Amino acid sequence: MSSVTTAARPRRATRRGAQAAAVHLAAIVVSFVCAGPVVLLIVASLHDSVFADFSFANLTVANYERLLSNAVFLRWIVNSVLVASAVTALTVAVDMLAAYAFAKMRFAGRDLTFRLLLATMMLPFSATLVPVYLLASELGMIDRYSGLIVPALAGPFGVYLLRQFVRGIPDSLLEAARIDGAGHGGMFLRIVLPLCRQPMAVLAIFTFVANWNTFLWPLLIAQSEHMMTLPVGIATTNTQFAQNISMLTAGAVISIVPMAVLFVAFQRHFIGGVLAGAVKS
Amino acid sequence: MTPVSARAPAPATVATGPGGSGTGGTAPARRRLRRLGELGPALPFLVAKVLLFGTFIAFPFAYTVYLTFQRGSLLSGLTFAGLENYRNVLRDTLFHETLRNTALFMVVVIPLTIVVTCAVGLLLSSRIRGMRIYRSLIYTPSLLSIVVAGLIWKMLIDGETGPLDRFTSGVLGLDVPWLTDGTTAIVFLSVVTLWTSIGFYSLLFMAAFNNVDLDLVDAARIDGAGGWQILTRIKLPLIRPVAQVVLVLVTINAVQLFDLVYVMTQGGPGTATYTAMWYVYQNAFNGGSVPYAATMSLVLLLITAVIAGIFISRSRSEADDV
Repeated sequence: MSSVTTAARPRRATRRGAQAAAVHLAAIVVSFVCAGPVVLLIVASLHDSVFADFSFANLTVANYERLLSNAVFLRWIVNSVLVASAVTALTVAVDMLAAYAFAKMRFAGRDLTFRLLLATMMLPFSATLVPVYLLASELGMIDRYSGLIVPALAGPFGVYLLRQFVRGIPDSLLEAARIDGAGHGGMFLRIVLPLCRQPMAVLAIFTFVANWNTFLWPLLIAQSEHMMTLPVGIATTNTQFAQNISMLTAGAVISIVPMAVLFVAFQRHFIGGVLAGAVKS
Repeated sequence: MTPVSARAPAPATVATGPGGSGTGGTAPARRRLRRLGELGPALPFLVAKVLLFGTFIAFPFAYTVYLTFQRGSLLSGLTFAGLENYRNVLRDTLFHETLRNTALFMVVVIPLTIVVTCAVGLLLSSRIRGMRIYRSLIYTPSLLSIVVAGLIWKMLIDGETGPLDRFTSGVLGLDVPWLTDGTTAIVFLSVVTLWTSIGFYSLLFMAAFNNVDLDLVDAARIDGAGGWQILTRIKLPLIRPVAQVVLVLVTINAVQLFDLVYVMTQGGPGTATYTAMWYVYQNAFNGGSVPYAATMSLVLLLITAVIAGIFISRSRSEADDV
């Protein structure tokens, strides 16, 4: 164990090699456990059979053809895209505005309001679920896009995340703009927004992924089949493909595609978002 | 009534704190005037967030608390019930069972998640070629909705065609009662939950390991410490704050377990996978009592808050020791 200081170069090199091999082996095993089931899902979706079939022979895209010509399924895709996009765009807009106010403006009750916001960051959805549902039904939001979108905009996380970045913008920049005659609107649009592209992208990606995959709320709101989002449709489906597992798997694969594309395109942001969300040291 | 758990991500926030960008030494009275004076310009920036937050979080939470002291239904009208709901919740044997089920789930999923994701995070922090590919593959399950994850694992354990069931029964000769035995079902739900969260938590641990000061590691190495000693004496203590964050997140998610139950077991066999959240859902939306459901969700919140509070206060006091 203590040979490190005295080890001759070749010995150290082989030990490095062995270590790297062990790391690779472990990483391969973990990767297999994580990604293997997803591969099997894809394989199952490529079989035109009633039961799940995991063989690599006789693959066909029949399920995909059938799904993509199915009006209800297409509607679920449209709903998911529409809801997740709207929630994302509105969240970034609303939270960015609030983040600016909390970071760079001074007004009565600012700190109190912000602390209240933060205090609810970990409030589980169950603690507000019943009243939010009652409220949504009172406001006529059941089975409507508004019900799927508007309540999802309330969370405090985005404000918290963006405020951290806005605070980091030097006041001297803003003061220079103010001397040039800019008000808060001008400073926000011309200085803060361009500087916050990165954190806004992080928030956007995270909001989109979370809302694409969210289940309980749309399950409650979407009561007719044509208002369902993909996860709700897949979980509650009782007509079209209940008897056809491989068709269900094709639906599941289609629901993963946008996430996979986002992940590949914005890998760095994903990791950045994970870190911004949990550890800020 | 702020849940203690709400403080979980707070250390960073508390450290930065409010205030900051000062405008310089004005008299208190004038300053107060100025602060009030900026409320006008601030309003357009705040109005959307404050309205949404107030309507869909703050007010509903207050209303949940109010509902717990009511009886009746929203249609027939609510009347004051005092602590009746709380008494009933505490006496409800099915609620007790949901808590036991949830506790069993937590006992399995929390240590499992911490140990596995910490190990994987350590793995991901090693500097080898191709790590980016491994990282992507390990993150794959985190991209799925729980619904899809549940579907996948149901297929894998299918008695007829499931590869996992074929492996355990064919190769290992074990007849695993995946979802037909209560305890096994809960353990299995824990494993699937772990699977869905490996990517996310491992990335957290990876970042923590990457942040460990290499000078410390080198110094220890010069002092003759081996790899294992460096890990247990230096790295693990240093990543403790992240472990604590993961601990709190896993705990909170565990208490909220719902999606997987919906997709995989629907509470069964019998009531063996009735989780607290599933029971709340049944009460609120499948013809139960809405005030009762609210009371259960509040009791649940209190339990979570206490557990999370213990985790957090322990991490605080340990941090103070340093």
